[in-house]
Amino acid sequence: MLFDDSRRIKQDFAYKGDLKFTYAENFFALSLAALDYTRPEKNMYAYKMEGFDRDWIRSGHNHFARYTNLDPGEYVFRVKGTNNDGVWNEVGSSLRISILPPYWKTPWFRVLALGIFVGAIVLVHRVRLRARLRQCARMEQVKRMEAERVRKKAATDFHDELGHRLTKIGLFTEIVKRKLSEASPEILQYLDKIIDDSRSLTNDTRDFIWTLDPDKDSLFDVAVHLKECGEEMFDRTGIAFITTGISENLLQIKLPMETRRHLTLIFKEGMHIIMKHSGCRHVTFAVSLETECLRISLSDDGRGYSGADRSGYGLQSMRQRAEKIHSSIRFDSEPGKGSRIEVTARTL
Amino acid sequence: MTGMPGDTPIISVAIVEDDDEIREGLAILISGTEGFLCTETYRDCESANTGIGLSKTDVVLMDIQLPGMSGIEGIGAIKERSTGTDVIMLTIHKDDDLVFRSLCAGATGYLVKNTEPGRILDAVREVVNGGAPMSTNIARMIVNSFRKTTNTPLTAREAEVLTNLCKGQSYKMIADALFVSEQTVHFHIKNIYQKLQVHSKSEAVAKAIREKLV
Repeated sequence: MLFDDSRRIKQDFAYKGDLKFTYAENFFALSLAALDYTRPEKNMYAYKMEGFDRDWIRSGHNHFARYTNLDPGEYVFRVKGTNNDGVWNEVGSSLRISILPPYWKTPWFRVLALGIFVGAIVLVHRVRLRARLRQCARMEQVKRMEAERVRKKAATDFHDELGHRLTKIGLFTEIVKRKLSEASPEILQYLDKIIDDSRSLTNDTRDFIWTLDPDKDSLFDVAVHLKECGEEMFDRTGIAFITTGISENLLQIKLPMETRRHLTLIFKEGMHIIMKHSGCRHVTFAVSLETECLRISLSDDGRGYSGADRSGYGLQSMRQRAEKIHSSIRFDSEPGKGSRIEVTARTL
Repeated sequence: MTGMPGDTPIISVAIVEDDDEIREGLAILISGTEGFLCTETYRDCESANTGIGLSKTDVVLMDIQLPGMSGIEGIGAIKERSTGTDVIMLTIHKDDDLVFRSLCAGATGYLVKNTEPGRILDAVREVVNGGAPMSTNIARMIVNSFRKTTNTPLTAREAEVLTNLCKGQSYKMIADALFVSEQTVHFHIKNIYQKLQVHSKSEAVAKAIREKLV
Protein backbone atom coordinates (compact mmCIF):
# COMPACT_ATOMS: atom_id res chain seq x y z
CA MET A 1 0.00 0.00 0.00
CA LEU A 2 1.37 3.42 -0.96
CA PHE A 3 0.66 6.91 0.12
CA ASP A 4 1.44 9.58 -2.26
CA ASP A 5 1.48 13.19 -1.40
CA SER A 6 2.53 14.59 -4.71
CA ARG A 7 3.22 17.97 -3.27
CA ARG A 8 5.44 16.98 -0.48
CA ILE A 9 6.63 13.50 -1.20
CA LYS A 10 7.96 13.16 -4.64
CA GLN A 11 9.05 9.55 -4.31
CA ASP A 12 6.49 7.04 -5.47
CA PHE A 13 7.01 4.36 -2.89
CA ALA A 14 5.52 3.31 0.36
CA TYR A 15 6.01 6.13 2.66
CA LYS A 16 6.66 5.22 6.23
CA GLY A 17 6.76 7.93 8.75
CA ASP A 18 4.86 10.93 9.76
CA LEU A 19 3.40 13.72 7.76
CA LYS A 20 3.30 17.17 9.20
CA PHE A 21 1.09 19.90 7.91
CA THR A 22 0.63 23.42 9.09
CA TYR A 23 -2.86 24.66 9.96
CA ALA A 24 -3.09 26.25 6.49
CA GLU A 25 -2.41 22.96 4.73
CA ASN A 26 -5.34 21.06 6.23
CA PHE A 27 -6.87 20.53 2.82
CA PHE A 28 -5.43 17.55 1.06
CA ALA A 29 -6.05 14.35 -0.86
CA LEU A 30 -4.24 11.10 -0.41
CA SER A 31 -3.81 8.84 -3.39
CA LEU A 32 -4.01 5.15 -2.56
CA ALA A 33 -2.67 2.14 -4.44
CA ALA A 34 -2.82 -1.53 -3.55
CA LEU A 35 0.23 -3.47 -4.57
CA ASP A 36 -1.61 -5.71 -6.87
CA TYR A 37 -1.00 -4.80 -10.41
CA THR A 38 -2.95 -7.59 -12.06
CA ARG A 39 -5.97 -5.43 -12.63
CA PRO A 40 -5.47 -2.32 -10.61
CA GLU A 41 -8.85 -0.89 -11.65
CA LYS A 42 -10.49 -3.78 -9.81
CA ASN A 43 -8.76 -3.01 -6.53
CA MET A 44 -11.01 -1.60 -3.81
CA TYR A 45 -10.08 0.56 -0.84
CA ALA A 46 -11.29 1.44 2.64
CA TYR A 47 -9.74 4.10 4.81
CA LYS A 48 -10.21 5.82 8.08
CA MET A 49 -8.70 8.95 9.61
CA GLU A 50 -8.51 8.10 13.28
CA GLY A 51 -9.34 11.20 15.23
CA PHE A 52 -11.73 12.42 12.54
CA ASP A 53 -13.65 9.53 10.96
CA ARG A 54 -15.72 7.35 13.18
CA ASP A 55 -15.96 4.44 10.77
CA TRP A 56 -14.11 3.06 7.88
CA ILE A 57 -14.93 4.68 4.62
CA ARG A 58 -15.33 2.35 1.77
CA SER A 59 -14.33 4.18 -1.33
CA GLY A 60 -14.76 1.28 -3.74
CA HIS A 61 -12.49 1.61 -6.74
CA ASN A 62 -11.82 5.29 -6.04
CA HIS A 63 -8.25 5.57 -4.89
CA PHE A 64 -8.37 9.13 -3.50
CA ALA A 65 -9.01 10.07 0.10
CA ARG A 66 -9.86 13.76 0.46
CA TYR A 67 -9.89 15.73 3.65
CA THR A 68 -10.72 19.33 4.13
CA ASN A 69 -10.61 21.45 7.22
CA LEU A 70 -9.02 19.08 9.62
CA ASP A 71 -8.57 20.66 13.00
CA PRO A 72 -5.01 20.88 14.24
CA GLY A 73 -4.09 17.75 16.08
CA GLU A 74 -2.68 14.26 15.82
CA TYR A 75 -4.28 11.78 13.37
CA VAL A 76 -3.57 8.28 12.22
CA PHE A 77 -4.64 7.49 8.68
CA ARG A 78 -5.36 3.82 8.12
CA VAL A 79 -6.03 2.23 4.81
CA LYS A 80 -6.67 -1.26 3.58
CA GLY A 81 -7.31 -2.62 0.14
CA THR A 82 -8.36 -5.66 -1.86
CA ASN A 83 -6.81 -7.42 -4.79
CA ASN A 84 -8.70 -7.74 -8.06
CA ASP A 85 -10.58 -10.68 -6.56
CA GLY A 86 -11.99 -8.57 -3.75
CA VAL A 87 -9.93 -10.19 -1.01
CA TRP A 88 -9.23 -7.70 1.81
CA ASN A 89 -5.76 -7.23 3.12
CA GLU A 90 -6.81 -6.72 6.74
CA VAL A 91 -3.34 -5.54 7.86
CA GLY A 92 -3.40 -2.50 5.70
CA SER A 93 -1.09 0.39 6.26
CA SER A 94 -1.06 3.47 8.43
CA LEU A 95 0.37 6.92 8.45
CA ARG A 96 0.62 9.41 11.26
CA ILE A 97 -0.51 12.84 10.27
CA SER A 98 -0.12 15.80 12.47
CA ILE A 99 -1.64 19.12 11.66
CA LEU A 100 0.24 21.80 13.51
CA PRO A 101 -1.90 24.35 15.19
CA PRO A 102 -1.47 27.99 14.13
CA TYR A 103 0.81 29.94 16.44
CA TRP A 104 -2.15 31.53 18.13
CA LYS A 105 -3.44 28.14 19.14
CA THR A 106 -0.17 26.97 20.62
CA PRO A 107 0.02 26.68 24.41
CA TRP A 108 3.04 28.91 24.72
CA PHE A 109 1.28 31.59 22.72
CA ARG A 110 -1.81 31.31 24.89
CA VAL A 111 0.28 31.58 28.06
CA LEU A 112 2.07 34.56 26.61
CA ALA A 113 -1.18 36.18 25.47
CA LEU A 114 -2.74 35.58 28.86
CA GLY A 115 0.34 37.05 30.50
CA ILE A 116 0.17 40.13 28.29
CA PHE A 117 -3.55 40.46 28.89
CA VAL A 118 -3.18 40.20 32.67
CA GLY A 119 -0.18 42.52 32.51
CA ALA A 120 -2.18 45.05 30.54
CA ILE A 121 -5.07 44.90 33.01
CA VAL A 122 -2.69 45.37 35.91
CA LEU A 123 -1.00 48.24 34.11
CA VAL A 124 -4.27 49.97 33.24
CA HIS A 125 -5.42 49.51 36.79
CA ARG A 126 -2.22 50.97 38.18
CA VAL A 127 -2.29 53.89 35.78
CA ARG A 128 -5.90 54.62 36.71
CA LEU A 129 -5.13 54.21 40.38
CA ARG A 130 -2.21 56.58 40.08
CA ALA A 131 -4.34 59.09 38.17
CA ARG A 132 -6.99 58.86 40.86
CA LEU A 133 -4.39 59.30 43.59
CA ARG A 134 -2.99 62.30 41.74
CA GLN A 135 -6.44 63.76 41.43
CA CYS A 136 -7.03 63.21 45.14
CA ALA A 137 -3.73 64.88 45.92
CA ARG A 138 -4.65 67.77 43.65
CA MET A 139 -8.03 68.15 45.29
CA GLU A 140 -6.36 67.93 48.66
CA GLN A 141 -3.97 70.68 47.62
CA VAL A 142 -6.78 72.86 46.31
CA LYS A 143 -8.61 72.36 49.59
CA ARG A 144 -5.48 73.19 51.54
CA MET A 145 -4.86 76.30 49.47
CA GLU A 146 -8.46 77.34 49.90
CA ALA A 147 -8.18 76.84 53.66
CA GLU A 148 -4.95 78.80 53.63
CA ARG A 149 -6.59 81.56 51.62
CA VAL A 150 -9.57 81.72 53.96
CA ARG A 151 -7.28 81.75 56.97
CA LYS A 152 -5.16 84.48 55.46
CA LYS A 153 -8.22 86.50 54.49
CA ALA A 154 -9.70 86.20 57.99
CA ALA A 155 -6.38 87.08 59.57
CA THR A 156 -5.92 90.04 57.21
CA ASP A 157 -9.41 91.35 57.93
CA PHE A 158 -8.75 91.05 61.63
CA HIS A 159 -5.42 92.79 61.22
CA ASP A 160 -7.01 95.62 59.22
CA GLU A 161 -9.72 96.14 61.79
CA LEU A 162 -7.23 95.97 64.62
CA GLY A 163 -4.89 98.35 62.82
CA HIS A 164 -7.73 100.76 62.27
CA ARG A 165 -8.74 100.78 65.94
CA LEU A 166 -5.17 100.96 67.17
CA THR A 167 -4.51 103.86 64.82
CA LYS A 168 -7.31 105.69 66.60
CA ILE A 169 -6.04 104.76 70.06
CA GLY A 170 -2.60 106.03 69.07
CA LEU A 171 -3.97 109.25 67.61
CA PHE A 172 -6.26 110.04 70.51
CA THR A 173 -3.62 109.27 73.11
CA GLU A 174 -1.18 111.51 71.28
CA ILE A 175 -3.77 114.32 71.19
CA VAL A 176 -4.47 113.88 74.90
CA LYS A 177 -0.75 113.94 75.58
CA ARG A 178 -0.34 117.21 73.72
CA LYS A 179 -3.31 118.83 75.42
CA LEU A 180 -1.93 117.73 78.78
CA SER A 181 1.60 118.99 78.10
CA GLU A 182 1.49 120.87 81.42
CA ALA A 183 0.34 117.79 83.32
CA SER A 184 2.47 115.79 85.69
CA PRO A 185 5.19 113.63 84.12
CA GLU A 186 3.55 110.63 85.75
CA ILE A 187 0.42 110.99 83.61
CA LEU A 188 2.48 111.51 80.48
CA GLN A 189 4.46 108.41 81.31
CA TYR A 190 1.28 106.33 81.40
CA LEU A 191 0.09 107.82 78.16
CA ASP A 192 3.38 106.80 76.61
CA LYS A 193 2.85 103.29 77.90
CA ILE A 194 -0.56 103.17 76.22
CA ILE A 195 0.99 104.32 72.97
CA ASP A 196 3.83 101.78 73.26
CA ASP A 197 1.49 98.93 74.05
CA SER A 198 -0.91 99.67 71.25
CA ARG A 199 2.02 99.94 68.87
CA SER A 200 3.59 96.66 69.93
CA LEU A 201 0.18 95.04 69.67
CA THR A 202 -0.09 96.13 66.04
CA ASN A 203 3.46 95.01 65.33
CA ASP A 204 2.86 91.60 66.86
CA THR A 205 -0.32 91.18 64.86
CA ARG A 206 1.55 92.25 61.74
CA ASP A 207 4.23 89.63 62.47
CA PHE A 208 1.58 87.01 63.01
CA ILE A 209 -0.17 87.85 59.73
CA TRP A 210 3.20 87.88 58.05
CA THR A 211 4.04 84.33 59.17
CA LEU A 212 0.64 83.14 57.91
CA ASP A 213 1.28 84.51 54.44
CA PRO A 214 2.10 81.51 52.21
CA ASP A 215 3.86 83.78 49.70
CA LYS A 216 6.42 84.92 52.23
CA ASP A 217 8.04 81.53 52.53
CA SER A 218 11.75 82.14 51.95
CA LEU A 219 14.76 83.09 53.99
CA PHE A 220 14.83 86.31 51.97
CA ASP A 221 11.40 87.27 53.31
CA VAL A 222 12.52 86.53 56.88
CA ALA A 223 15.66 88.62 56.41
CA VAL A 224 13.82 91.58 54.88
CA HIS A 225 11.13 91.41 57.55
CA LEU A 226 13.72 91.42 60.32
CA LYS A 227 15.61 94.21 58.61
CA GLU A 228 12.46 96.33 58.56
CA CYS A 229 11.68 95.49 62.18
CA GLY A 230 15.24 96.50 63.09
CA GLU A 231 15.13 99.75 61.16
CA GLU A 232 11.88 100.68 62.81
CA MET A 233 13.05 99.68 66.27
CA PHE A 234 16.39 101.49 66.15
CA ASP A 235 15.11 104.53 64.29
CA ARG A 236 15.79 107.67 66.35
CA THR A 237 17.57 105.75 69.08
CA GLY A 238 21.05 106.91 68.09
CA ILE A 239 21.92 103.30 67.32
CA ALA A 240 22.89 102.59 63.71
CA PHE A 241 21.27 99.44 62.34
CA ILE A 242 23.35 97.74 59.65
CA THR A 243 22.47 94.71 57.55
CA THR A 244 24.77 92.50 55.54
CA GLY A 245 24.34 89.46 53.35
CA ILE A 246 20.76 90.00 52.22
CA SER A 247 20.51 89.04 48.56
CA GLU A 248 17.94 87.50 46.28
CA ASN A 249 19.88 84.20 46.52
CA LEU A 250 18.11 83.78 49.84
CA LEU A 251 14.84 83.42 47.93
CA GLN A 252 15.84 79.84 47.10
CA ILE A 253 15.88 78.82 50.74
CA LYS A 254 12.28 77.92 51.53
CA LEU A 255 11.37 77.78 55.19
CA PRO A 256 8.33 76.29 56.88
CA MET A 257 5.99 78.58 58.79
CA GLU A 258 7.22 77.46 62.21
CA THR A 259 10.83 78.17 61.30
CA ARG A 260 10.00 81.62 59.99
CA ARG A 261 8.03 82.42 63.13
CA HIS A 262 10.70 81.26 65.56
CA LEU A 263 13.55 82.91 63.64
CA THR A 264 11.64 86.20 63.61
CA LEU A 265 10.87 86.00 67.31
CA ILE A 266 14.44 85.04 68.27
CA PHE A 267 15.93 88.04 66.48
CA LYS A 268 13.25 90.51 67.48
CA GLU A 269 13.85 89.47 71.08
CA GLY A 270 17.57 89.93 70.45
CA MET A 271 16.99 93.42 69.10
CA HIS A 272 14.87 94.31 72.13
CA ILE A 273 17.58 93.15 74.49
CA ILE A 274 20.23 95.15 72.64
CA MET A 275 18.09 98.27 72.59
CA LYS A 276 17.25 98.07 76.28
CA HIS A 277 20.50 96.88 77.81
CA SER A 278 23.51 97.16 75.53
CA GLY A 279 24.04 100.89 75.26
CA CYS A 280 25.70 100.24 71.92
CA ARG A 281 26.17 102.50 68.90
CA HIS A 282 26.04 99.94 66.11
CA VAL A 283 23.96 96.82 65.60
CA THR A 284 24.71 94.48 62.72
CA PHE A 285 22.22 91.97 61.41
CA ALA A 286 24.00 89.51 59.11
CA VAL A 287 22.78 86.60 57.05
CA SER A 288 25.18 84.26 55.36
CA LEU A 289 24.48 81.25 53.26
CA GLU A 290 27.21 78.64 53.30
CA THR A 291 27.43 75.36 51.44
CA GLU A 292 25.54 73.31 53.99
CA CYS A 293 24.21 75.74 56.52
CA LEU A 294 22.86 79.17 56.99
CA ARG A 295 24.07 81.55 59.65
CA ILE A 296 22.09 84.48 60.95
CA SER A 297 23.65 86.74 63.51
CA LEU A 298 22.97 89.91 65.43
CA SER A 299 25.91 91.68 67.01
CA ASP A 300 26.44 94.96 68.80
CA ASP A 301 29.32 97.04 70.13
CA GLY A 302 27.73 97.73 73.49
CA ARG A 303 28.76 96.98 77.05
CA GLY A 304 28.28 93.23 76.78
CA TYR A 305 27.57 90.89 79.67
CA SER A 306 29.39 88.22 81.59
CA GLY A 307 28.65 84.51 81.63
CA ALA A 308 26.76 84.87 84.91
CA ASP A 309 24.16 87.11 83.30
CA ARG A 310 23.51 84.63 80.59
CA SER A 311 20.50 83.05 82.29
CA GLY A 312 18.59 86.31 82.20
CA TYR A 313 17.64 88.60 79.36
CA GLY A 314 15.27 86.11 77.79
CA LEU A 315 18.18 84.09 76.42
CA GLN A 316 16.47 80.94 77.68
CA SER A 317 13.37 81.47 75.54
CA MET A 318 15.56 82.17 72.52
CA ARG A 319 17.41 78.92 73.14
CA GLN A 320 14.12 77.02 73.35
CA ARG A 321 12.93 78.52 70.09
CA ALA A 322 16.18 77.55 68.38
CA GLU A 323 15.75 73.98 69.61
CA LYS A 324 12.21 73.84 68.24
CA ILE A 325 13.46 74.59 64.75
CA HIS A 326 16.41 72.17 65.06
CA SER A 327 19.06 74.81 64.86
CA SER A 328 21.82 75.78 67.23
CA ILE A 329 22.19 79.13 68.91
CA ARG A 330 25.30 80.73 70.40
CA PHE A 331 25.61 83.69 72.68
CA ASP A 332 29.04 85.30 72.77
CA SER A 333 29.75 88.24 74.99
CA GLU A 334 32.27 89.67 77.36
CA PRO A 335 31.87 92.76 79.48
CA GLY A 336 32.97 95.75 77.44
CA LYS A 337 33.24 93.83 74.21
CA GLY A 338 29.73 93.86 72.85
CA SER A 339 27.62 90.78 72.24
CA ARG A 340 26.69 88.44 69.48
CA ILE A 341 23.83 86.02 68.90
CA GLU A 342 24.27 83.49 66.14
CA VAL A 343 21.77 80.95 64.88
CA THR A 344 23.04 78.18 62.64
CA ALA A 345 20.75 75.83 60.77
CA ARG A 346 21.50 73.11 58.27
CA THR A 347 20.05 73.71 54.88
CA LEU A 348 20.61 70.23 53.49
CA MET B 1 5.04 125.97 50.62
CA THR B 2 3.49 129.12 51.92
CA GLY B 3 6.30 131.49 52.87
CA MET B 4 5.93 133.10 56.28
CA PRO B 5 7.91 136.28 56.80
CA GLY B 6 10.97 135.66 58.97
CA ASP B 7 10.00 132.09 59.69
CA THR B 8 10.53 128.62 58.22
CA PRO B 9 7.91 127.93 55.57
CA ILE B 10 4.78 126.22 56.82
CA ILE B 11 3.81 122.98 55.14
CA SER B 12 0.15 122.91 54.17
CA VAL B 13 -1.48 119.49 54.35
CA ALA B 14 -4.81 118.19 53.05
CA ILE B 15 -6.27 114.91 54.30
CA VAL B 16 -8.50 112.58 52.30
CA GLU B 17 -9.78 109.86 54.65
CA ASP B 18 -13.23 108.41 55.01
CA ASP B 19 -13.05 107.61 58.73
CA ASP B 20 -14.21 110.79 60.53
CA GLU B 21 -12.29 110.11 63.73
CA ILE B 22 -8.98 109.36 62.05
CA ARG B 23 -9.39 112.33 59.72
CA GLU B 24 -10.17 114.78 62.54
CA GLY B 25 -7.52 113.28 64.80
CA LEU B 26 -4.83 113.65 62.15
CA ALA B 27 -6.00 117.19 61.40
CA ILE B 28 -5.73 118.19 65.07
CA LEU B 29 -2.25 116.65 65.32
CA ILE B 30 -0.97 118.24 62.15
CA SER B 31 -2.30 121.68 62.89
CA GLY B 32 -1.07 121.36 66.47
CA THR B 33 2.51 120.81 65.32
CA GLU B 34 4.81 123.69 64.60
CA GLY B 35 5.61 124.09 60.90
CA PHE B 36 2.46 122.29 59.74
CA LEU B 37 -1.02 123.42 58.92
CA CYS B 38 -3.89 121.18 57.96
CA THR B 39 -5.74 123.32 55.47
CA GLU B 40 -8.41 120.95 54.22
CA THR B 41 -10.00 117.62 55.01
CA TYR B 42 -12.13 115.55 52.66
CA ARG B 43 -14.00 112.33 53.15
CA ASP B 44 -13.70 111.24 49.51
CA CYS B 45 -11.73 111.83 46.31
CA GLU B 46 -14.62 113.37 44.44
CA SER B 47 -14.80 116.37 46.76
CA ALA B 48 -11.02 116.49 47.18
CA ASN B 49 -10.31 116.81 43.45
CA THR B 50 -11.82 120.23 42.99
CA GLY B 51 -10.79 121.65 46.36
CA ILE B 52 -7.11 120.65 46.25
CA GLY B 53 -6.76 121.81 42.65
CA LEU B 54 -7.78 125.28 43.70
CA SER B 55 -5.75 125.58 46.89
CA LYS B 56 -2.38 124.18 45.69
CA THR B 57 -1.70 122.32 48.94
CA ASP B 58 1.89 121.13 49.54
CA VAL B 59 1.01 117.61 50.64
CA VAL B 60 -2.08 115.43 50.42
CA LEU B 61 -2.37 112.51 52.82
CA MET B 62 -4.59 110.11 50.90
CA ASP B 63 -6.25 106.96 52.14
CA ILE B 64 -5.88 104.16 49.59
CA GLN B 65 -9.24 102.52 50.14
CA LEU B 66 -11.99 105.06 49.86
CA PRO B 67 -15.66 104.72 49.04
CA GLY B 68 -16.32 105.71 45.43
CA MET B 69 -13.22 106.78 43.57
CA SER B 70 -10.23 104.97 45.07
CA GLY B 71 -7.25 106.85 46.40
CA ILE B 72 -5.14 105.51 43.53
CA GLU B 73 -7.50 106.95 40.93
CA GLY B 74 -7.59 110.21 42.86
CA ILE B 75 -3.82 110.78 42.53
CA GLY B 76 -3.93 111.48 38.80
CA ALA B 77 -6.67 114.07 39.08
CA ILE B 78 -4.87 115.94 41.85
CA LYS B 79 -1.51 115.88 40.05
CA GLU B 80 -3.19 117.18 36.90
CA ARG B 81 -4.64 120.21 38.64
CA SER B 82 -1.71 120.89 40.90
CA THR B 83 1.62 119.49 39.73
CA GLY B 84 3.58 120.71 42.74
CA THR B 85 1.45 118.79 45.22
CA ASP B 86 2.99 115.66 46.75
CA VAL B 87 0.57 112.84 47.42
CA ILE B 88 1.41 110.49 50.29
CA MET B 89 -0.70 107.38 50.62
CA LEU B 90 -2.05 106.19 53.97
CA THR B 91 -2.15 102.43 54.12
CA ILE B 92 -2.56 99.55 56.52
CA HIS B 93 -0.24 97.22 54.59
CA LYS B 94 3.06 98.66 53.58
CA ASP B 95 4.14 96.03 51.06
CA ASP B 96 0.84 95.93 49.38
CA ASP B 97 0.34 95.78 45.65
CA LEU B 98 -1.91 98.80 46.20
CA VAL B 99 1.06 100.77 47.46
CA PHE B 100 3.02 99.87 44.35
CA ARG B 101 0.12 100.88 42.11
CA SER B 102 -0.16 104.18 43.97
CA LEU B 103 3.51 104.85 43.31
CA CYS B 104 3.00 104.00 39.63
CA ALA B 105 0.06 106.40 39.57
CA GLY B 106 2.16 109.29 40.86
CA ALA B 107 2.24 109.09 44.66
CA THR B 108 5.49 110.32 46.20
CA GLY B 109 5.41 108.10 49.23
CA TYR B 110 3.35 106.04 51.60
CA LEU B 111 2.81 105.82 55.33
CA VAL B 112 1.53 102.95 57.39
CA LYS B 113 -1.50 104.39 59.19
CA ASN B 114 -0.53 103.20 62.59
CA THR B 115 2.83 104.94 62.42
CA GLU B 116 3.61 106.99 65.50
CA PRO B 117 2.19 110.49 64.87
CA GLY B 118 5.60 112.08 65.31
CA ARG B 119 6.99 109.90 62.55
CA ILE B 120 4.07 110.68 60.26
CA LEU B 121 4.98 114.36 60.49
CA ASP B 122 8.66 113.60 59.93
CA ALA B 123 7.80 111.60 56.85
CA VAL B 124 5.67 114.43 55.47
CA ARG B 125 8.50 116.89 56.07
CA GLU B 126 10.98 114.54 54.38
CA VAL B 127 8.82 114.17 51.27
CA VAL B 128 8.37 117.93 51.00
CA ASN B 129 12.15 118.35 51.24
CA GLY B 130 12.74 115.95 48.37
CA GLY B 131 12.86 112.64 50.21
CA ALA B 132 11.21 109.48 49.02
CA PRO B 133 10.70 106.35 51.09
CA MET B 134 11.19 102.99 49.40
CA SER B 135 11.10 99.62 51.16
CA THR B 136 12.98 96.53 50.01
CA ASN B 137 9.86 94.88 48.64
CA ILE B 138 8.72 97.98 46.79
CA ALA B 139 12.22 98.25 45.29
CA ARG B 140 11.88 94.66 44.05
CA MET B 141 8.47 95.33 42.53
CA ILE B 142 9.99 98.30 40.67
CA VAL B 143 12.92 96.23 39.43
CA ASN B 144 10.49 93.59 38.15
CA SER B 145 8.38 96.20 36.43
CA PHE B 146 11.41 97.65 34.61
CA ARG B 147 12.72 94.18 33.77
CA LYS B 148 9.93 93.76 31.23
CA THR B 149 11.24 96.61 29.08
CA THR B 150 14.27 96.09 26.88
CA ASN B 151 15.95 99.46 27.33
CA THR B 152 15.71 100.63 30.90
CA PRO B 153 15.15 104.34 31.40
CA LEU B 154 17.23 104.24 34.60
CA THR B 155 20.72 105.68 34.77
CA ALA B 156 23.55 103.47 36.01
CA ARG B 157 23.49 105.23 39.37
CA GLU B 158 19.76 104.86 39.79
CA ALA B 159 20.01 101.17 38.93
CA GLU B 160 22.77 100.83 41.50
CA VAL B 161 20.67 102.49 44.20
CA LEU B 162 17.76 100.22 43.33
CA THR B 163 19.92 97.08 43.42
CA ASN B 164 21.24 98.02 46.83
CA LEU B 165 17.73 98.67 48.10
CA CYS B 166 16.76 95.19 46.90
CA LYS B 167 19.57 93.83 49.06
CA GLY B 168 17.89 95.37 52.07
CA GLN B 169 20.37 98.20 52.54
CA SER B 170 19.33 101.38 54.28
CA TYR B 171 19.65 104.80 52.66
CA LYS B 172 22.61 105.52 54.88
CA MET B 173 24.39 102.31 53.89
CA ILE B 174 23.77 103.06 50.22
CA ALA B 175 25.03 106.62 50.62
CA ASP B 176 28.22 105.34 52.28
CA ALA B 177 28.76 102.65 49.67
CA LEU B 178 28.33 105.06 46.75
CA PHE B 179 30.29 107.89 48.45
CA VAL B 180 27.36 110.28 48.19
CA SER B 181 25.14 112.02 50.73
CA GLU B 182 21.83 110.59 51.88
CA GLN B 183 20.24 113.59 50.20
CA THR B 184 21.63 112.38 46.87
CA VAL B 185 20.20 108.90 47.47
CA HIS B 186 16.80 110.52 48.06
CA PHE B 187 17.22 112.48 44.85
CA HIS B 188 17.91 109.28 42.90
CA ILE B 189 14.93 107.52 44.41
CA LYS B 190 12.62 110.39 43.58
CA ASN B 191 13.84 110.17 39.98
CA ILE B 192 13.24 106.41 39.98
CA TYR B 193 9.67 107.05 41.11
CA GLN B 194 9.16 109.60 38.34
CA LYS B 195 10.51 107.19 35.73
CA LEU B 196 8.30 104.46 37.14
CA GLN B 197 5.28 106.69 36.65
CA VAL B 198 6.20 107.57 33.07
CA HIS B 199 7.02 103.92 32.43
CA SER B 200 3.73 102.61 33.85
CA LYS B 201 1.79 105.25 31.95
CA SER B 202 3.43 104.27 28.66
CA GLU B 203 3.00 100.61 29.54
CA ALA B 204 -0.70 101.20 30.25
CA VAL B 205 -1.08 103.04 26.93
CA ALA B 206 0.79 100.30 25.09
CA LYS B 207 -1.40 97.69 26.74
CA ALA B 208 -4.57 99.57 25.78
CA ILE B 209 -3.41 99.82 22.16
CA ARG B 210 -2.50 96.14 22.11
CA GLU B 211 -5.85 95.13 23.47
CA LYS B 212 -7.77 97.24 20.99
CA LEU B 213 -5.80 95.75 18.12
CA VAL B 214 -6.54 92.20 19.19
